[in-house]
Amino acid sequence: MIGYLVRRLAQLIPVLFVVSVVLFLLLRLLPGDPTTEILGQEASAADRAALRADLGLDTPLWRQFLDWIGGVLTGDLGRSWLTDEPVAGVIVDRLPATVELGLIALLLAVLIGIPAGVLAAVRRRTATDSALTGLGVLALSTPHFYLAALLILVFAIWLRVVPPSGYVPFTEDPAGNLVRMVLPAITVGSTVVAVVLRQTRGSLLAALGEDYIRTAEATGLRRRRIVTVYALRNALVPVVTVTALQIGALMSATVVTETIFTLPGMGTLIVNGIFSRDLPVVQGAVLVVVTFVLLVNLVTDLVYAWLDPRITY
Amino acid sequence: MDTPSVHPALLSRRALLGGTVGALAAVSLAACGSDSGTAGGKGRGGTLTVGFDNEPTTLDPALSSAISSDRNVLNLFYDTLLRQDRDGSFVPALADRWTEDGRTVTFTLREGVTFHDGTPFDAEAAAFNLRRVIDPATRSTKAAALKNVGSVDVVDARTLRLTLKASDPLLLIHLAHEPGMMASPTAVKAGDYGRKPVGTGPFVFDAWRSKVQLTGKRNPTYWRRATDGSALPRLEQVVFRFVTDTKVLRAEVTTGGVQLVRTLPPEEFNQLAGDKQITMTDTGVRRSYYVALNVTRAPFNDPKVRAAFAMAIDREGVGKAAAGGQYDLAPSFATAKDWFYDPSITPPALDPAGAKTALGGTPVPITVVARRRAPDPTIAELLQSQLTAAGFAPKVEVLEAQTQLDRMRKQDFDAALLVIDIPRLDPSLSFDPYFSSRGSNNWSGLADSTLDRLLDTAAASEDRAVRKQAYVEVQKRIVDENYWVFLHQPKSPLIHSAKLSGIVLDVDGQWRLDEAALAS
Repeated sequence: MIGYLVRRLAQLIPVLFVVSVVLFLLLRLLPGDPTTEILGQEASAADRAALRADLGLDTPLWRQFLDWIGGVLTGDLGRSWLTDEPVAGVIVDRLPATVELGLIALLLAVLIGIPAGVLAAVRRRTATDSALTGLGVLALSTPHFYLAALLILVFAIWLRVVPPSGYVPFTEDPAGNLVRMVLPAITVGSTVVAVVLRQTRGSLLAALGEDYIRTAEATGLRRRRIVTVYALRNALVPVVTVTALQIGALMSATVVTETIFTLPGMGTLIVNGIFSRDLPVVQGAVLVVVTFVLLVNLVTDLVYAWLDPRITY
Repeated sequence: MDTPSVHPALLSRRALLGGTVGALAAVSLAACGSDSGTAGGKGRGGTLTVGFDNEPTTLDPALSSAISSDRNVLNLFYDTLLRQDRDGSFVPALADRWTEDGRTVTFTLREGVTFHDGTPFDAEAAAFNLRRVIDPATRSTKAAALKNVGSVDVVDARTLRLTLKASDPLLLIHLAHEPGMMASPTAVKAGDYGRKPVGTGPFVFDAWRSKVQLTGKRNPTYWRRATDGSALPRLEQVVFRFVTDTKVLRAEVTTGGVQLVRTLPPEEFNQLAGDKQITMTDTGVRRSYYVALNVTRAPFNDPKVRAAFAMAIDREGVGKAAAGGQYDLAPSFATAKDWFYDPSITPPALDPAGAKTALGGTPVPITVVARRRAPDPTIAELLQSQLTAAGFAPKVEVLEAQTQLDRMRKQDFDAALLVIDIPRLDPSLSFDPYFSSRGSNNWSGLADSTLDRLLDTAAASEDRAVRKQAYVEVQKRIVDENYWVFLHQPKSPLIHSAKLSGIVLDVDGQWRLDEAALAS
């Protein structure tokens, strides 16, 4: 197990290196000029050229890459071109909102998606099943920007139970933080809940058709025990896979959601960084997100082993 | 109404004081300041929350890259030597008085003012700020504004003298805005200044969380007094919340989450029309949509093709569809309220059939570049159908902002759709960048000596009549040559809670909140 872990962690190094190269080069292919945001649209060409030299943009690409990757290896992600803040500090500022949003969405997925999926599977082909799967399809096919607007209209403007947008850190005002996180978390969580619901229902139905379930039924075990202990545990392995895949998708979902609800998260950091061509920030933030997703995949594989003792590493 | 919702008591006193709100009045009122004034007692304190869509990247005025929107925030923390009122006149601020003789401007500074960090404001501090903007090493975005200042000299602690290389009619305007904002030299030297501003202004910087909000607290020792002698500012705290989505911004206004917004597009503010809690005032601020034609290559190097383009565009139709009917039509960046506006300038009349005939039957292929941001793509599509009907074969490319600018700088387009906010502080600031052959945003690639000469005349003269004449000629020339086609000008009213009063506007519509008050 320890050996497996070390091997998997070692495999991350070449992956991250390739990601860094591709990321760096892709960003350099973007048309546009970081000096537009820094100096304003009406700066003279000479001022722009001077600033580009200051930022080291007149040196060859390989040189710029080595400077950057050398910094990353020594723990220095560089400074924002736009605001001159250290990139690492900016990321630390922005991580909490996104992590919180993701965690609440995942929590919703587990707390709502799995029980609803179980219910739908147990009540197969009843009105309950149709209602739940119908809701699932609706949640999957509703775009986040639309759902967000709808939630704001109903809960912020009509009912006035939550503010339309805004953010306070959890550490400063836990209640205020959670009140403002409800709508964004529902928005982002809707898809994950739906995916988990559908997957749970599907794989539980498959498990319930297995021979060992018939055996368990024959021994006279209670239905509840058969479903929750015998069938569900086996059915959860694909659910975990799908949920883990959703974590990557969550990152892209947060972009839209963070923008609408004005949450200071990683999604808006990356997108605004691209729009303003603040490439050091984009590079640092994407690298952090990629590392995070790779680690989640690793943890997922470890969870398989826990869920299904037949899987060993 | 130029300064909407001014407190009634203030208004009457203002009217009484008339034109004497000058050096003398300011000094004497400052001396007799007390909180017991009738107007000052009402609506004092409270937190004003502002919904702001354009977060500054820095709060260092010397490095601010926005054309004007940062000033809404900077005005909280900074003062200038002199202020420019909405009507264009200059009034004393950190300088009690000043004298000009063409080649020098001498300022006598107000006594007893300190920066928020306790650093005294004196001639040394003022000189430090102006020299910092001029110094090429600062890479100040405002350096060009002080290009005619040869030297900045400290005569004594209260006297500052600027020696000019050439007379500059715009100098006082610049000194009254970002390029002349006074920052604490102590704080600037301490570093990381862009995120820790220290000025002499009505509010003291408190906190700034990127993409969330920025807070300023009342400066209890602010030097400026209201015209009735009461202390300023009236608000206890101002919070700028950075909300970019216009629908959410409207939701925040509706629910009272914010009491003032920078701007909302017509489709959003039209929905606020019946709300009694909300005041909307047309202050004359407009957004000016335009199409710049690339004259450096075919087909728009041919004046006849440009004329056909102008005849093809139904500006009324575009305005109705893209601005919910809330727009004006004007022949240039001028609005009907501007002193350089001339209603006799008229663009070619809508005549698609005439355009088609002029083009000679074969569809003329052109590339139109537009920005991916509502409502620009809609406008581009409207133009596309109008142009097709008039014998062009337009291809529309909707691009992200930086990509579009990149294409325009490289003159890799035929027609470019874009917008600017108007009015600016001076017409030279709207026209020169776009129409001078040396202009930084000369998208069309113009090298028109007539235009250059007119623009130079207008920018160099102190005489308003001469300047007006020159700017009218400039506009005529642009329209006659059809270098650009000016589309509609959507309205951009000042939108705020009915409880909020006392917002004072700069010439270009940016706010000053030192006199603002919230009724409880």
